[in-house]
Amino acid sequence: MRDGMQDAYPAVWRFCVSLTGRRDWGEDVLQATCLRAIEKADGFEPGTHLDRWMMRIAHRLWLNELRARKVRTGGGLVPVEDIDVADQKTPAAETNIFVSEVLSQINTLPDAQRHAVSLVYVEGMSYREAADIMEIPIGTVMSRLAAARKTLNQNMPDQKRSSR
Amino acid sequence: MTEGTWISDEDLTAYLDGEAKDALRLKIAAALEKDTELQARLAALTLDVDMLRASALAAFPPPPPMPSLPAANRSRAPLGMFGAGLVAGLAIGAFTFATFFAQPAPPEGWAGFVASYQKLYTAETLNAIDQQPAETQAQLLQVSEANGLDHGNLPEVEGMTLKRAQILGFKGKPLVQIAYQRADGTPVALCIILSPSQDPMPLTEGENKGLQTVRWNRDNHGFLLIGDMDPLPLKQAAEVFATAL
Repeated sequence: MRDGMQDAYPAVWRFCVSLTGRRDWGEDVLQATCLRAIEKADGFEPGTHLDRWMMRIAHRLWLNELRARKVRTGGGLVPVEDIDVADQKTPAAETNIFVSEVLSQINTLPDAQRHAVSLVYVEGMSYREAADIMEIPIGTVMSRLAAARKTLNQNMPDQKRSSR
Repeated sequence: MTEGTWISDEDLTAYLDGEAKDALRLKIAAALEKDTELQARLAALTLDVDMLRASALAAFPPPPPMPSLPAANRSRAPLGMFGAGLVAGLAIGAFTFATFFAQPAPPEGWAGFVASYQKLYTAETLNAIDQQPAETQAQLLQVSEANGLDHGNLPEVEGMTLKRAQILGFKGKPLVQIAYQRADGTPVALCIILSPSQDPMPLTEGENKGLQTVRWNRDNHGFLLIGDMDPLPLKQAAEVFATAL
């Protein structure tokens, strides 16, 4: 289990940050997710994707248990400026500004849309996989992605390049 | 959604993502050849996903060190027993969850589930829903089939606009969510679960996860009207729904 968690860790981390919209809260959810995964290890089916399973745990933890506490004690949601990006301190290179802008645009999406974008477009999951993680119908995944596409289409930098 | 001639934004999104089934894909491809309005709608949804993915992956900060974890808990000992030892191994974060996990959270029931879901809704979420009345009506018929209630003639509630109806689920039971938006943008949802185990309950006001609620049960259905708004107008809206459904 722990070896598998090491492999799944980076993707689960990204999803936790996307879930919460904040790096520090993402770290908290990640910790809690790792703990819960160990506790619930019996429930994992060998041969299935550990990262998906952990993301579903993270999603449940955030929505059902942690989010309300954080919002109550943390005074708000999704302060975009609190998302650190890798090269934020040296924004001279145009590339860094560009990638920062992309993450910033994703982070301005409503929570539910951001989660769907994170799973399908960043992590490359199918609609079915994303729906299973978020425990919602596929149609809802599609609605969230459609709404997110509209927003990002208008706001994303360099949308004129090869697109789909 | 894919029936008939109407092609929704969700259909177009599935088409762009390679998730559309053959029939839908062919239908959209054929329509795009001659329908300029559809072409424009497709263009408004187009996204450079490869660029987005590459940029997002590059921009994310590296993960924090992995916490030192206890062995897999085959015996299901209480998590709090190793929570204290775990804290020493955590290199990051201002918060720990040892205390939090020491006491298992009480079961929340379907209303808590709905409240968590509803908390995700913002005015922007509903602003983004721009569907044709015919599509909304088709959704209402679908949810009517799911829970056995007639949603085809939902009552008008002053100051609330019907946005969408969808079928969710809770522990294997169909859970209908009918999304409304108030004039000030506030999301409000009428949620109905089909469950024979509901005890009869008159209109009961309350609060759940910071949202105002009115609940009532009748026959095999549990009803919940929920939104971040004053109690009185929510209660008045609930009375209208309770009379009609």
